[in-house]
Amino acid sequence: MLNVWLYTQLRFHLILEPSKHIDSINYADIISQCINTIRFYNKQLTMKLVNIVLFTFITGSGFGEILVIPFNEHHNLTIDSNQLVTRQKKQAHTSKLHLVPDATVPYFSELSEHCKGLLSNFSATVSTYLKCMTFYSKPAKLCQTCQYKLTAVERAYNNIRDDNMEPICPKLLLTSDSLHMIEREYEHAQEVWQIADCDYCYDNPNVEIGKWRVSNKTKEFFDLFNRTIDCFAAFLPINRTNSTDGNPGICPNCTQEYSALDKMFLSSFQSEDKICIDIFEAMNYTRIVWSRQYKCYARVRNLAEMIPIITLILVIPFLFYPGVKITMDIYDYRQKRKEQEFDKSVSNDYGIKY
Amino acid sequence: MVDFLDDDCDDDSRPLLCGNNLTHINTNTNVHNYRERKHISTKMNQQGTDFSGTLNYLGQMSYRAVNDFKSYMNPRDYYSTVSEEFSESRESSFTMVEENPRMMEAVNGSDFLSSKYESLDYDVMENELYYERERTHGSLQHLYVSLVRWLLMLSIGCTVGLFAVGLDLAMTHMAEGKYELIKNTITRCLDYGCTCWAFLMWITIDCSLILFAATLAVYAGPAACGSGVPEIKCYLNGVKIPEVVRLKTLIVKSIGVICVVVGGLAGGREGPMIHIGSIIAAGISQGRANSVRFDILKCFPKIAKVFENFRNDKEKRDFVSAGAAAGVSAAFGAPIGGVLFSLEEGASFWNQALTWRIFFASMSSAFVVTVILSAVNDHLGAITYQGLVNFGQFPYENCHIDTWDIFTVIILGIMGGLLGALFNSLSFRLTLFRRKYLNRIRACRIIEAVVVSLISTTISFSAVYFFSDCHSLRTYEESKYAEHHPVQLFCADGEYNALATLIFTTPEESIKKLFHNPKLAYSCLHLVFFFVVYFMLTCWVFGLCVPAGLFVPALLTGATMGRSFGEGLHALFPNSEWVVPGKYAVIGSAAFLGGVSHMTLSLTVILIETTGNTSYGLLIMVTVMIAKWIGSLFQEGIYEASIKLKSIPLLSWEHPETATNLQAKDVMASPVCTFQPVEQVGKIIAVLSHTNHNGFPVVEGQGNNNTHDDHFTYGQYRGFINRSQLIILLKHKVFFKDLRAPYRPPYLPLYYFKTEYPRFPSIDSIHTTVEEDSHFIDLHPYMNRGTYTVTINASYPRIFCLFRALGLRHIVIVNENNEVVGIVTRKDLGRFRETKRCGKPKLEHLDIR
Repeated sequence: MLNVWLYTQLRFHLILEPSKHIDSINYADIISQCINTIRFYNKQLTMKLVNIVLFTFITGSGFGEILVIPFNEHHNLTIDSNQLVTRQKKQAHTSKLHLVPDATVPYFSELSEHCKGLLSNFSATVSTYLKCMTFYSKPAKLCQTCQYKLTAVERAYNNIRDDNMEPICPKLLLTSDSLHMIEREYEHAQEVWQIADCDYCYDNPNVEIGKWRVSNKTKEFFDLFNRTIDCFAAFLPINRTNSTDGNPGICPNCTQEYSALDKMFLSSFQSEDKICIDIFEAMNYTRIVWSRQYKCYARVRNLAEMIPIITLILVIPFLFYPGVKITMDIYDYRQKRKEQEFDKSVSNDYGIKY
Repeated sequence: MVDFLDDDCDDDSRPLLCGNNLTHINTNTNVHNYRERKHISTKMNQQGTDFSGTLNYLGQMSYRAVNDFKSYMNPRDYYSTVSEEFSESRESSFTMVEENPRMMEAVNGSDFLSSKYESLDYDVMENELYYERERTHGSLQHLYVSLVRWLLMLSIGCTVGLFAVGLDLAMTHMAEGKYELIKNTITRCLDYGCTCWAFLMWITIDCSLILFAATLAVYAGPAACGSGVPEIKCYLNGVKIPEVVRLKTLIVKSIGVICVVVGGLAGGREGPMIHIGSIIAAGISQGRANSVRFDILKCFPKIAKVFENFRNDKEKRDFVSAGAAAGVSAAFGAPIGGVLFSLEEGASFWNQALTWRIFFASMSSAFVVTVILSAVNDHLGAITYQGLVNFGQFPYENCHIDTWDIFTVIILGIMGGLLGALFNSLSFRLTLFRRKYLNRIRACRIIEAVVVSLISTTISFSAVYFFSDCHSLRTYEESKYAEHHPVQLFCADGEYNALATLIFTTPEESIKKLFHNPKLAYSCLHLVFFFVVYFMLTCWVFGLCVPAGLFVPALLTGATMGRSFGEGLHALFPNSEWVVPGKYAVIGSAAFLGGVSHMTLSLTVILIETTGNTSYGLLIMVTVMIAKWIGSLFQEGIYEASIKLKSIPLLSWEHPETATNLQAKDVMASPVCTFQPVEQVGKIIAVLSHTNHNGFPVVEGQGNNNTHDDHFTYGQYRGFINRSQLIILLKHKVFFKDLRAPYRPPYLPLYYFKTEYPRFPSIDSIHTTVEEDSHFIDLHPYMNRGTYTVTINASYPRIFCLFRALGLRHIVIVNENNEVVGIVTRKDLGRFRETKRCGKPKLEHLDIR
């Protein structure tokens, strides 16, 4: 019966709420229930009788799908699937109906309390984690704030996956629908962490155990960073509106801190492939504030030195090409003269005039 | 002292006394002139005819040519050989020159064919010896030969791949090192005020590299100059360019191209890769390298006997086209593109089995490149690195193609076509100037290359120094292709100079960045500046005597064009999803290269393969098509133009439309040097040393002019013999003394002909005694009896088709009695060229000098 269903197309979908014991569903009951429902909704159908209802039940999900194939009473239930397909093709008039669940049919499959607990644990950890990541993304502090929340997500997920108490639980929760919400959220959580390169803030992090030891480099960096920011804060003018015009107080006073930070960043992070987003953003922010907002850093172009040299070089082709042309023209002219003289001498020898 | 580089062929200096090249050499000949010419020739006996050729030749040669002629030879020798008639005619010749002063200025243009280029023999010499070998070969032998052919294809592919990877690694590492050094020095100098010295250091590095490359190219291997694509194209078409497939050229080319790329000149390595591939293919297939005196036939005579089969122009050509394809394939990681390139730009002769073999070579080369690059990049065993130039994969979301794109693509195509035409005409003018003034002195060519390098470095530096195209580092980090550290210079901390980052890399990397960096990574204005500068530089570099290709610079120029178009479009429609500047960069590069080179199929496929994106295929095709149409309204592709400028007699795919009413008698060369089947040694030596013809009809009976058709005939046609064969026969003295005696010397085995190939000794190295001069040679077993002939009334298109399809070198023109009346060579056909003036096609007759 199940086979037949697999080979044919669904005509009617019925969302069932199965009776209490999912595993011991009385198929006959459900079938008759279905037929009733279909009849109820389907009075306009021209068929005499809806004979056979084939149906399958995705294990335990509570959502059944029913195939209704109208044909003769005399047919047996176990018909050849191929026949069925061809038959269906012929009957183009079979209509598709989405049936609203009957009030009597239980709609939501009851998860066991245990499963429910796992699910709610997971959703809670994920939402805390994402909230944390979102909130601390500006200014970026997420790697150093949300690490244990990621561990919690990981653990909650592992709890579901490796659940031994009710083996049906992981199946139900993880793979029973097309959305795969838990899987999706778990992957998303990982992905965000990886895009932020947060692992690079730590020494050999282990997410599951929750071993998050901030690396020495990171510590050192934030030390310097805090010092710089403190310095900025100390010399910040009271009226912040004119800060766009540069700041006379900050530049001379904080150069030491800033360049120490810059140097440290360049020496220990610049050459690396990936930099933890906290550090990266902090550095970017400092740099932009320093050079754009306070206008402390500006290289000056030495035009007086460079322009003459460049002009001098750019003139060379304008000398070279005409020079070659003139030289060659003079050479050709001389050559021609020589040839004419040669021709004259030849013509004198042999008496040819031209 | 001035070296006339363009005239360095010895053959030119020899007085041309008899035969086919002579009569058709005359300059402003049109078809009507034929009657006059014939009148002269028919007046004389056979001996006299030879001279009449010379007279005609001299009489209508330009003034300059006459002077060259004189300066090359000792006048006394010359006059002593020529009869009195000569002086009369010579007199008249000069009056003619004075009447027609236009001819004097025609020296530098593209309006003549150079006689220094010989043709290749793509027609197999099927003589007695050949038949005998074929008879002894069983089917097993044939199987063995074709197996070896496949193995050779494999080894060609692998060697080309290895070579390409070696070059690439050397180049990339050196270039990276150089740019890193310069970048660091400049950055440090900006703080300490020594920018000037950093600049000078940059210039010194670049100029010395270019100086080295140019010196090497000019003095050691002039054939290695330029991209090499036109030369290979000519070779595959059947024109032999001196030194083009020599080991020397290979070495010069490889070292030179490394210097050029590292030296930051606007030149690519892809064109040279094609040339290098061809040279490797030629070397491997022949199993010899003359420069180092290695010949597999002599070193391992037993094992390598099979190589005898490949010692002819036809087999060699097939291998060379495979080598060219393998070169493209290795350079771009585009095996199919390589095959199609070989088909489109190179091979003039093509068949299905050959295509498959070439594809095999091409694939094996790409495979070797991939494997080695993977190993080098620590992924041993993985076959992930695609080609040397990989323009990166486009992510799926960027492949969105909107209906609007058809219009933008058309606009880009038109832009590409117009700019390509501008590029071609600029480079044409520049080349003319170079030919007229610069190329005459070797030092001048070197200095020019250095000047170009100086200017391009200076412009790069100025762009880096004066422009600040600052963007936040964050956008840089976002881009997938940010392997190189961003350059800050005058930008604020936390920002980078996008323009400088483009400049401080190899062109390939720049292309990648233009293709893939996200929107607004560049400002439109700076891109336009970069475009203009790079356009000029590319144009300037093309034609320099350094091994530098056009492919990547043109792609980069086009990518800049497309990218600036895309950024402009983005400014116009800021919210449109379909405006992806990277997409327009790809299309722009296709459009520009299409407009410049007039390549179509192979360009499209190469770009599809290098970007790994088939969904842009349609757009690229449309844009290339339009660019080509627009471009050909103005001029032909740059490769054809440069071939034409070199006066090489290339036969294109189609014969000129306006030449359909010509007939064999109008195009053929009429006094023909012929031999009798049993010929006297003295005569052969005389003819060989006084002419530079390469093929001679063997006739029986004497010539006369009593046929009703007024054509001078040379006896009944029996067969055809090549100069090289005659020289080998003379060298091995296959003579016999007495015509009537029954003794005949044994046949000279085929081996002797094959070992000398392709560089046969010159006739000057053959010495015979006076007694031997009266001996005879029996040409019967050596001549090709089954050559193609056409009758005197055959049409020009028919002869053209025969030449083009069969790769002929000579075709003998016979009359209805099978008597030889003339001969047609490639140059006789190539000198009819169609030019379009104001849209009207006009048939031009070129001189052969």
